[in-house]
Amino acid sequence: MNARATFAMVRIRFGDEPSAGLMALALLGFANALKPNGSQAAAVAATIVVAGVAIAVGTTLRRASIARTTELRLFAAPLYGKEVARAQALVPCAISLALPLVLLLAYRPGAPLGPNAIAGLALGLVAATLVALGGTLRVGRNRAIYVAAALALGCTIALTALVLGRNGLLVGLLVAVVVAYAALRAFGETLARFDPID
Amino acid sequence: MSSDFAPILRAADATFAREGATLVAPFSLRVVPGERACLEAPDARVASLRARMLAGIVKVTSGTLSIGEFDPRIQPVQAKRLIGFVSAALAPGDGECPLDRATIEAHADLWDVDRALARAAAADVTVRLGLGGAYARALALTLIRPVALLVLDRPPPELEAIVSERLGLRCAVVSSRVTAPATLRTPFLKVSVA
Repeated sequence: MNARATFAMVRIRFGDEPSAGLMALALLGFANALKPNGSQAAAVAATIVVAGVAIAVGTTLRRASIARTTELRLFAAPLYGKEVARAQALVPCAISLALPLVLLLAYRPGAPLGPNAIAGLALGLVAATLVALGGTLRVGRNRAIYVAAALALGCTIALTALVLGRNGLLVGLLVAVVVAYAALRAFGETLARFDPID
Repeated sequence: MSSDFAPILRAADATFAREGATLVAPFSLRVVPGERACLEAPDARVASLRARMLAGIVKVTSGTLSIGEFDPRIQPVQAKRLIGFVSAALAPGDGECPLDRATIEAHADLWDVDRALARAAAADVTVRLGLGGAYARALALTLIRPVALLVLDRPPPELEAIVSERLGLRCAVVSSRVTAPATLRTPFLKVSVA
């Protein structure tokens, strides 16, 4: 696939952005400007992580996002499922990464999330977003399973880096790479098999 | 004479089922270049599904369907390159506004067509059709490149009647249509042969 088709799909996908989810993630990032003390810092950090992953998953699975994923003109175009999957994943992942970017910009010594934890959160968000993308092609209970898996994976990767520091970040990196690769590949195969009947 | 041509579309007992329910009953069709055919269906959903099957978007679950030499289940990209598919669901914008440059260029990028050529082709189709509306715009977008098989999903009757003549199409044209069950002639009706 050429870069033109990829950018065309990114433009189509980005058509209804910036979304409320993007704004919420960016605003949440400013929580890193707080300087809570002692035990409060851990609670604030965990809240940012869980809320960030939940917003990213919710944004990926909102109605407009699902409509973009199942847009008929993409299925009519001469593109392989894996190519469409890669292009479709770019915008949700970029939106998710708005949170760690703002967290990093707002970071000052003593902030709830340090650089390692922010990097771990970025990994968790990308993995969660890619798993959640698979849910856009499913309905009912199957979609709920994808939502649960995305939330659990994203929070686990991010919290591991938050709690265990650099070692946790390395473990998170390993898990995130494996999960992201498998999720993107599965999304591509599902797109190739998907029949847009509605 | 037209039967001497290799068919661009062959469907033999093509069926679509999901979760045990047959959504599209088996139908067979053979269309050669230059020929026009119309698939009649009792409701909009079946009509749309049949058109999507012929366009390689929805894969047949039993029977066979081939576009040129390609089976859309195995070679979807090669098959789709031969097909132009127009659906009301693909129609960009509302009302009578003309096709905008960004829409044409996004479509050209998706299909790897030169942007300037795409704009010229879309403008040419729009002028020749002489019709406004979302469906005509979707048709103009589809015809920014040459197609061997044009699949029209429930086109407006006034557009369906003039499309081949006004555009001078040499490709095969298959349209789907919703027909009241009492007057239904299943599984398909070949309208004319060029």
